[in-house]
Amino acid sequence: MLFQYLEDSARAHSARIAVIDGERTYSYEELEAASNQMARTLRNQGIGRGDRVGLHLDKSLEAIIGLFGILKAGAAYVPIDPASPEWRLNFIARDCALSGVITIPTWHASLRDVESLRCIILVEARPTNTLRVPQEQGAPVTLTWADVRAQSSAPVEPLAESSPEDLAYILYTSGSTGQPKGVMLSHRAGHAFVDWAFSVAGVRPGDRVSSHAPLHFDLSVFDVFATAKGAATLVLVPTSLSVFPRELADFIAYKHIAIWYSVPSVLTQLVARGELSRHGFPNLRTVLFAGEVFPLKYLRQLVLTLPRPRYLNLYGPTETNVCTFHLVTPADLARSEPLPIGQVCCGDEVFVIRDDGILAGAGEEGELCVAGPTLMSGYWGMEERTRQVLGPIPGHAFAYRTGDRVIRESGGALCFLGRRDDMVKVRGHRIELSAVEEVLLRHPDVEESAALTLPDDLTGNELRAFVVLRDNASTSPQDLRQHCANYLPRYMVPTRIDACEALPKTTTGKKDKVRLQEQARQLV
Amino acid sequence: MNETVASYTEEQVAQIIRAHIDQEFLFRTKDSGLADDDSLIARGVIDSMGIFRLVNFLEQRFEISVSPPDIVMENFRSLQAIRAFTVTRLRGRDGQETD
Repeated sequence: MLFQYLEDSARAHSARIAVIDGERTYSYEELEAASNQMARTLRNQGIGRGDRVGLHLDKSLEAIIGLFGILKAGAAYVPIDPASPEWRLNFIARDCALSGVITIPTWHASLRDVESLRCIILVEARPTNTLRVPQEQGAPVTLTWADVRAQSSAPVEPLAESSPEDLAYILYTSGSTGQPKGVMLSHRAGHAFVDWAFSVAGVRPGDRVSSHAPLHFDLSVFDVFATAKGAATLVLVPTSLSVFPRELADFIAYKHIAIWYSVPSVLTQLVARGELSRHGFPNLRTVLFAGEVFPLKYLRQLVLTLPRPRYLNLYGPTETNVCTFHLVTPADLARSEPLPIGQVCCGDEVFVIRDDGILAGAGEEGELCVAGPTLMSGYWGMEERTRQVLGPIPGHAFAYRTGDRVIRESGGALCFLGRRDDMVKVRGHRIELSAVEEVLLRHPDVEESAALTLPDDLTGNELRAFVVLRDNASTSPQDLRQHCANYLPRYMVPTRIDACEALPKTTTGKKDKVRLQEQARQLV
Repeated sequence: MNETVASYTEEQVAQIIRAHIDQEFLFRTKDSGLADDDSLIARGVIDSMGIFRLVNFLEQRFEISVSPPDIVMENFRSLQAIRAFTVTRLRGRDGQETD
């Protein structure tokens, strides 16, 4: 089980620093004790195996304690972006029937009506304030952080019948209809990835490992668990620093980060605007990146500026954790095509299936399919959707169809070519364009909608949209962006929405993406 | 409008910046608008890409130049900070012009 990484390190290296959150540090012993208190708090509310608990917090010491506590209780954690609109928070809470949620007082009122909730744990709430309202019949119990910390810190009773197939976490991603879908990952899947990633990244006791990605982003699985496995130190990178590449560079240097993991767009910003040559980064040994294609121009600059670390490209949709990887070599930097996604890893197998359903030969393109231990257990509550992507393929009885088009190079390395559907990546976040279009269509003034991305090497894809408004509509583009923000996470809100008379169509009546891009490019 | 006017009052600067941020970044949540000293960064109003859109805007609108060492938390933390930074730059520019 994933929490055993923490238990083992707490036993062997109790005094080592486990987490650094700004000025606060926690040793392995302290993290172990606090997460036991959290686990006990949840168990006391009847929460355990087979339940789900929302983790609706900014990344913080409390969030890490919560994460391990939820797992120790036997439940699965469901990280929810605190910047999400209320609609999305409520949708997720109800969709996966959360039994408990860890959040801050601001959200108490909007969560208390979620029928499945047995308890709401409020971080930052003062024990003496008005939260001690009389408990209404059937309403969830409200607890404060102080209530959690008042529990015994002894380990909770181990579960009699736990299994590696138990769910460890559910990550919600963009769904094509505008409703998010929950990717279920088991302890087994997490282990297969973490054990592999831990060794390939070379995590050593005492290493400072970055925690850059938010917890609802699957990159965080490496950060949290590979660090715990290695008795290394997780350094929480403040969200605000990602906005300021120069200060982020200082942070990496001054915090002696040894292992860095983020989406490429963060590294692109660091290299373009972080003035990296001000520092030597003597501690930095491994740089991992995943989530999108790293523009070679900036990767080249990065490796030239910082030649010492090893650079690793990890690939895998949330549904497979990570399933292939590629160690960047000097020869890669001279390429004109994008960096390969490389070789299969984590004990998985990969298959390339041609459009006609036959296994592709060398040099033939097809859809990448993955089989093996890192696969998800399915989409929460969506059996039909799960069956569409998980099942038999030529060459294997049970595989995940990624929807990614790839080709195998003559040397055997896999290269990513694009998507079979309209999913795009915006700074590592996956977005189904149809989801944005659907949400726009929910607005009463919108007759037709089209979402698209404009690629840019430096700033990554920019999300834009066009709408055709109904006659006499008075909605402004700003109203429409606000409308999107009511339903979608911020990264899915188009930076610009333009109204037009009609959407350009192809001869077959589909939206003409090429002409839409041309139109969008002219509107700056 | 005073696009070609070299100098702005502090109030005008504040208004222009607030209007731009409202327009570009702020999708008001049900509870609140944005106070002058609210952290734009902590509240996620401005993200890693947004900061560069904002810098471009300031450069073009006020004809000032913003270099990488300027793009730090201290100058972009809040509406107030952005205003103070912009005003300082405008004054610096006027100083250079009259020298």
